[in-house]
Amino acid sequence: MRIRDLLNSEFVRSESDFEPNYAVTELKRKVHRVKIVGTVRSQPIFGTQSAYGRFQLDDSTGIIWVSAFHTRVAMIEGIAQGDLVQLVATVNEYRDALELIAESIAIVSPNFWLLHRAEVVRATLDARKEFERARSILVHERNIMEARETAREIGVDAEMIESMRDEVDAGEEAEEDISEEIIEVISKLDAGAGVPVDDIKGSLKGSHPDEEVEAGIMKLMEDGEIYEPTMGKYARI
Amino acid sequence: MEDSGEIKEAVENRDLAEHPAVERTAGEVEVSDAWVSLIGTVISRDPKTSSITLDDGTGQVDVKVHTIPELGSLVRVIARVFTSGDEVTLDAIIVQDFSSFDVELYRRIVDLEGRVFSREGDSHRQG
Repeated sequence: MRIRDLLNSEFVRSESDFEPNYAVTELKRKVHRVKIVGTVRSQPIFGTQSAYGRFQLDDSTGIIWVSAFHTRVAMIEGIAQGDLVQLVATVNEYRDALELIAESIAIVSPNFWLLHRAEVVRATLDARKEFERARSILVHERNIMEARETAREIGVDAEMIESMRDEVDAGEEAEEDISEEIIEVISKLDAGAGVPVDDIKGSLKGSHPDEEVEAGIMKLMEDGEIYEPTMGKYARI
Repeated sequence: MEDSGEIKEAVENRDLAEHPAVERTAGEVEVSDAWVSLIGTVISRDPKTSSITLDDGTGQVDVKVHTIPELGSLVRVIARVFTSGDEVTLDAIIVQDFSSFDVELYRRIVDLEGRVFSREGDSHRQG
């Protein structure tokens, strides 16, 4: 994983002590544990009696604090500023910022960094495919339960469906918004013979592109909210 | 979380938080960059000024360093960018030994990343 992707994720603190915290990436993947290869950017710092150790990790896409506690502090004692390390860690939030809790830290050769970067490219491509498949299922099914079931059947992570639900809901709300605005414009401008499509587009130009207005008009026609008394003019039913 | 003796260092480190060392080639370093990383061969070194010249195949760049690497060695530097007008000076806080590094494979991966992470600012080589 890249630090940038992690920093762009949404952190979710588990409600139960027995469930791990996680982050939801932009591609809607739940991430409990990450592997990152990067440079120890800051000199590590330690708490009293080595209760904890911390340092900043930089992979050129982002920079993040890494902490270790108790017996794992020894891992941080074995590294220094400038070391290239492979880190395996869980995600946490501290003072409103994402941080990583180290489980394993190993100094690696520069070519290991290349391997990691190649793996990130492949994982990103796979995640994008999975994201598109999940979105397609959700748009098609329009019902969370059915979408989750379909996802399970074809091997897509069903939890992605839940994560994507808000986005689809937001899209539906935006669709409803423009429908209401188009009806308002027609009601206001219609003198009896319908309102030309260009006048509707002109009235909504500041807030919606022409394509969106055309799609909104088509939907209102299909829903039976408006009709076309003469070619290119629209009126409320 | 920090103890008193370490608070100062933690505060000093805080300004790093928003500035990863963005990958650049010799000719790409910009006045607006805060921190950069470059990979290149040391083609000259001057102990008097504690500086080296790196050649990365696309150009050359002078970097101030605290530890001077061997002439001819392949290194990666992580440096802070200081500017004076249009003049850019690089001050490296980290010099990594990249003598075993596969430069050809690196270039192929950078090219691949450029195609996959094509959105602005979404690759290692931001900007």
